[in-house]
Amino acid sequence: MALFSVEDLRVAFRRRGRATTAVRGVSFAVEPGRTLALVGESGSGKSVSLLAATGLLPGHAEVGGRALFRGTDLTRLTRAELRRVRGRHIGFVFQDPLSNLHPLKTVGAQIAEAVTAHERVGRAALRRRVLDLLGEVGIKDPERRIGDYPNHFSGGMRQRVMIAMAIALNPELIIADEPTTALDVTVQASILALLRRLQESHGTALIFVSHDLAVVSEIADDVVVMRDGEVVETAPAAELYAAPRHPYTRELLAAARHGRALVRPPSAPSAPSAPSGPDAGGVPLLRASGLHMSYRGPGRGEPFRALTDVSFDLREGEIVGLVGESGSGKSTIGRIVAGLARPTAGSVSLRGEAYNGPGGVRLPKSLRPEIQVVFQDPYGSLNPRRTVAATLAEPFAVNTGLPAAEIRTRVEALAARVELPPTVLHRLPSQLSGGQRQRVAIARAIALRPSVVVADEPVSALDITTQTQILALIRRLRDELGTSFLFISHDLGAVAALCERVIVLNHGRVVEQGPVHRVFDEPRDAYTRTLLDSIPGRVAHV
Amino acid sequence: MRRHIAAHAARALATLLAVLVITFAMTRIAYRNPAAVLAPRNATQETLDGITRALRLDEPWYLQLWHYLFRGPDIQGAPMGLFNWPPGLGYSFRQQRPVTELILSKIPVTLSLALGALAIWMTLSILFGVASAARPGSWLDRVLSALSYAGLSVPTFLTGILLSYFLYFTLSSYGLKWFPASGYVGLTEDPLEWARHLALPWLTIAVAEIGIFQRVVRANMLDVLGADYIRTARAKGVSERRVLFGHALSAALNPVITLGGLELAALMGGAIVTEQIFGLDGVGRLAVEAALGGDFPVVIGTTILAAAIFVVSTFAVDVVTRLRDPAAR
Repeated sequence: MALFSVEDLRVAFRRRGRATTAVRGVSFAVEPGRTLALVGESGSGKSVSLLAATGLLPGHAEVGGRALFRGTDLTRLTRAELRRVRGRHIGFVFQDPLSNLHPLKTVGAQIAEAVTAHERVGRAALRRRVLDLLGEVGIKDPERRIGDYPNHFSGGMRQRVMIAMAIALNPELIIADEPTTALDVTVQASILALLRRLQESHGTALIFVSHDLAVVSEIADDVVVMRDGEVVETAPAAELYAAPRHPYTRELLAAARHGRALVRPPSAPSAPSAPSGPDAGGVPLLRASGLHMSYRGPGRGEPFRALTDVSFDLREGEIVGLVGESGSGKSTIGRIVAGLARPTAGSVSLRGEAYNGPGGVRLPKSLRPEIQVVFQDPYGSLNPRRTVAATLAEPFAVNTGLPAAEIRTRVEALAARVELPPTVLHRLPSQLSGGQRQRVAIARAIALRPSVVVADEPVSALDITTQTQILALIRRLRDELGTSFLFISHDLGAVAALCERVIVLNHGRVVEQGPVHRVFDEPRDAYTRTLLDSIPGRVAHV
Repeated sequence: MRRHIAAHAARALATLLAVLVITFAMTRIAYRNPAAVLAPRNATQETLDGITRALRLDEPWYLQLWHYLFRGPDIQGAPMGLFNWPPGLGYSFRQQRPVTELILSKIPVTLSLALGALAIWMTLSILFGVASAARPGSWLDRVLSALSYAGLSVPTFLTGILLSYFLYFTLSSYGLKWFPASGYVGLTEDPLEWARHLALPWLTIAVAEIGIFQRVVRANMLDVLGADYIRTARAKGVSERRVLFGHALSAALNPVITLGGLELAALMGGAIVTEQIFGLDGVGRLAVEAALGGDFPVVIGTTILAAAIFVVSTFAVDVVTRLRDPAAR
C-alpha cells in the first residue's frame, strides 16, 4: 500500500465570492522509502497540491478529494489532529531557507521546537539531540553554531538547518518543495547528496517538488508532470526521460536539454553570425582594466574584497557570459560597467573613452544612452503604476525630444521588436506574465540602441520554457542590432546556450576566460571544473 | 553597538540643549518686564528688584541663560543651576518653591497614571490585535475593529466624562462606590485605594490608546502571519497558540514597541485632559497652570522634563529594538 496518496484532489481559492480553481483532479502516490518528483512550471499547482493535502494553505482555500497518509484521510482531520501528523510523520523542507527560518530565533531553538512540538524532552537531552541533528546534516562545529541566528548562516547552511528540522523526529515522509532552487549550483549538488544520504539511512519517502527536470533526474524514482493544475503525465523516471509521452513533457525536457546540449557544443563557435571579425584585433568596444572593489564592513576588520584585478574585453556585437556563484562579484562588475558603482581602483572604457575611474565621472552624460541594464527581477525594476507604453516612452521623451506621435510609433515598433503584442502596451506590470515583463525591461534597455547591454541574471526568475524564449530574443536582438551583451548568470546552461565567450569568477577574481566551447569542454581551472561537475542531470544524461 | 549608543546619546543631548535654549529665549522675549510677571500679586518694588537681581534680568539673555545653567537664581544660598548638583530648574517666585521640588512632588501621580495605563492598554491591545489577526474578517475581528475605531475617534474628555458618569455616578446611585471620581492616594500608603482611584483615568487613556494599538498589532500580525517562517512553524506541528504568540507576535512587536515608547513619553510629560477630568494633581496640570499664569520658570522646567522623557524613551526604544534584532546586535 502506498504510504501517501493523493486522490482526485481539487483546490479552489475563494475571494469576494469568486472561486478560482488552482488544482483539479490531481492524483499521485508515493511508496515507503521511494522518491516521487512533482515537476511543472510556476503556477502549475504542484506546491499548492501538497500544501492543500497537508492543511497548510490559508483559510480561504477550498480543498476537495482525498489525501491518504497510512490510510487516514488528512483532509478529514481537525486542525489539532493534523498538527500531530505534521512534523512527526511528515517533515517539510521549503524553497527559500532565509524566509523560512524565524529571523529572531536561534537555529538551535528552531530545531528544538520541531522536537518539543510533539515530545516532552528534558533540556540536556534536547540540546544533545539538536547537536546530533546539526552534525547529521553536516553543520561543522555544532556546539558553536547552535546559538547562532539564521542571518549568520549561508543559504546552503540554512537549508541544512531546514532539513535538520524536517528529520528531527524521523518522519516516514519528507516533502521538499523546491529545496535547491534558491541555491548556487555547487551547493545544490551537496544538498541533493545530503537528501539522498539521509533518505537511504532512514528509509524515508521523499516528495520532491521542482521546476527543473535536470535536478529531478538526480533524485527521483517516479515523476509526475503537472501543468495548469492538472497532471499530464506520470511515469517511472527512467521511462519518462527515455520516452516522454505527453508533448508538454517533451517540451520541458527539450528546454532542460537545451543548455546541456551546448555544454558540449560542436567545436565550431556557436554563433558564426557575430560580426566580431573586423574589430577583433583593434580597440575593443568595452574594456575593463584592473578593477578592484573593496567594502569596509561595520567592524574594524579587514575590508571585504569584492573584486580583485578584474580585466576583460567586450567586442562589438559579442555576447560575453559572466558566471560565478553568489558573492563571486559578478553583479558588482555589471554595476561598475553600467556606472552604478565606482570601483576602488581600475577603470572602464567604451571605444577608448575611459570612465568610472577613481576621481572621474561615474558615467558621463554622453555615454549614458550607450550602456543600458536589464535586471533579474523585472517586476521590481518596472514602475508598478506605469503602463508598458509609458515605461517604454520614457527613454525617448527624456533623451530625444521627439513629438508625442513620433514617440508612439517608436514605442509600437519597439514592442514589436521584442515580440510583445500591441494589446499589452496599455497594461500595468502586474497584469503581465513574467516573460512579458522581462521583454518590457529588455525593450526599455534597447530603446535608444545602446552599444552595450548589461543583463544581470535576466532569466533566473523565469520558468524554463520562458527562459529559452528570452535567450532566443537576446540572441536575435544581437544579430539584428549588433548590440553587445554582458550576460551575468549563475546558470551555466544558459551561458553555454547564449554566449560566445565566458568569464568565470570565484571570490572576486577571474579564474578563467575564453571561448565558451573551450572553457566548458576543457576547463583549465579547478574551480571551473567543480562548477561544471555540479550541473544537475550530467549523470542521467537528461 | 556601543558606538551606536554613544552617537545616539550625543544627539539626544544636543536635542535637549536646543529645546532648552529655545524655550528659555522665548520666555525672556515674550515679556518686557519679566520680573512683574514672575512676582506674586501685590509685590513691592523691593521684591521686583530682588527678582531682577536674582535672575540677572538686567543682563543680555544669553548671560541670563549662562546664569540659569551654571548658578541658578541667587536665592537660599545653594546654587541651583541645571548643571549644578543636584541639578536645579530655577525657582517659582509665585509658589515660593524651587521648580525641581514642585515637579518632583507631581511625578508619582503622573508616573502611576502613565505606567498603569500602559500596562492595561498594551495587554488588551495585544490580545485584541492577535485575536483579530488570527481570523481576519470573522465577526470577532469586525467587532474588535469597530470598537477600536470608536475608541480612536472619541475624544479623551468625552471618554473620561462618560466613564465617570456610568462607572461613578450611575453606580453610586445604586450605592456601589467602586470607583472614586477624583483624587489620588499614594501607592505606598494604600495600594488598593491607589488602584481604585486610578482605575477610571487608566481606562480613559487606555480606550484611546487601544484604538491605535489594536490596529497596529493587527496589521503587523497579518503581515507576519503571511511569512514563510510561520508556515514552517505550522509544518513542524507547532500548536496554533504558540504560532500566534511564540512566533508571530515576537516578530510583529517592533513597531508596537516603538509607538508604545512615544505614547508613554507623551503621557509622562503630562496627561493634561485626563488629569483635569479626574482632579489628579500631576505634571500636566502643573504645566498648564504655569503656562496660563505666566509662571515661566515652571514652564521651562516642565518643557525640559517632557523633552528629556521623549529623548530617553526614543533612546530606550532604539536600544530595545536593536537588542531584539540579531542582525544589528
